[in-house]
Amino acid sequence: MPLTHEEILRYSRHLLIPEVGLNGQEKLKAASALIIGTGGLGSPVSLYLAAAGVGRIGLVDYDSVDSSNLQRQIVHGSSTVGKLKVESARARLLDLNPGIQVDTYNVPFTAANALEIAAPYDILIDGTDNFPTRYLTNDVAVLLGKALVYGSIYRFDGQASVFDARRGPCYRCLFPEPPPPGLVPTCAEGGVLGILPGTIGTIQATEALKLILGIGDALIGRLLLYNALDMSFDFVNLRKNPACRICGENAEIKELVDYEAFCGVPGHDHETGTAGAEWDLVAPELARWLTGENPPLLLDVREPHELAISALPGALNIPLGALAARLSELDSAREMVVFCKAGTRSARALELLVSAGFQRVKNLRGGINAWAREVDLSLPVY
Amino acid sequence: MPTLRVPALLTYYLDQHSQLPLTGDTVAAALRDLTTRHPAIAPHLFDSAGNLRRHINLFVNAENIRSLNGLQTPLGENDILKIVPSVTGG
Repeated sequence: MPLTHEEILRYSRHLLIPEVGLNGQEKLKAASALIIGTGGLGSPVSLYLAAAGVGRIGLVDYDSVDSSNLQRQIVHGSSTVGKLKVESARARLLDLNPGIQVDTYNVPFTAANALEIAAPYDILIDGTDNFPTRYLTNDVAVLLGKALVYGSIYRFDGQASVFDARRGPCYRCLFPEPPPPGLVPTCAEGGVLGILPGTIGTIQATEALKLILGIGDALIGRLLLYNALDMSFDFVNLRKNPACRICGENAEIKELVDYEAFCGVPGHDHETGTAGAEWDLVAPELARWLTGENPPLLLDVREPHELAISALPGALNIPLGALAARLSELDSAREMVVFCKAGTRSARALELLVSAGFQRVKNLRGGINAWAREVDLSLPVY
Repeated sequence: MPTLRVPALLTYYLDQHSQLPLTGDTVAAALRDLTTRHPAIAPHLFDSAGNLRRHINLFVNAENIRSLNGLQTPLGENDILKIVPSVTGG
């Protein structure tokens, strides 16, 4: 696919590198990559692949841009808050490089559509934010015989690798099973340094370009462990698992499965804020109860530093991670309402309390954010 | 004395330490030392039957203990034991 004069000027800094050159830039123009998720990781990956001249970029995301995304999802902007993420990203990428093709898939990436969406692309890039979609993306890559450029992030830590079952291990070789539901917090619950996906995402973009160009040593069979606080880049070796269920010697997975059932969690990282109808209490109900004769104990299971953002007067703070060890501080005979930021951690706390014999417990549905929206509008939502 | 290295996901259960010296000449012995001193981390590493959780990988230096001698992999004075759990964010 020859370059136009305009493209030769645009990519001149690439053409000067002998490892890329005219031939390499033509490979980039002829190449295609599917980015699953246009969030923290998908932002830098899509921007750099577009800038580098990857000819066809597919974007999968069903979400809309929220102002809380903009601390890290730099492909979007204040002017696109409320718009579809794939359309927001497409406009930015085409502004950066109008010479490429950007395909958008404004749908959840599921077992029903994933193979069809991914089939036309050379490389898959993991920008997912939840375990079901991550396992799905891996299985799609293995079944279609494509490379998957992997990245994941939490707070100050990032991981990156290239999974290509034809030449090395896949994601399931490293992580045969997901964690039990609720054991590993999402970024929506635990937070993430805004720059972290920039670091990991640009590494993913680098790996994708190397794969297309056929240069350098790909991160196949190696896992990068990055820590922003220590500013450390560590590598560990990955090996193919002969017993892997999808790429092992006697692989049993021949088609896509039900990934939400496999992982026991939904295929998104939005906080559901509910412990189930029988355990939930909505914010206006709690407001009425608190002004009555027998107000409940309020148990705040957020981290102490979150109390500076918003708090309910009189609430007892025991972070979820410390709750099991501090149950003796609670009176099981007293009625209690548990809350957190949005209702996810408190739902887990409620499960723990009930399993420990506490019966008179309720979960504040939607957490203190719901209280801030529905009862006390002077409190911020975060 | 071998050193333990953990990601941010688990420092909460280790008084915010990302590195700790451990005693023990095998991975199993070092983990016993760890969970004795920091019992809150135990359910994040082991299931109720005491088996290592399947989303947790343990590396001695750069090698996964699955391709070495499992929990009986020896640990030397200068070895680094790394806990690598699956991470969900993106």
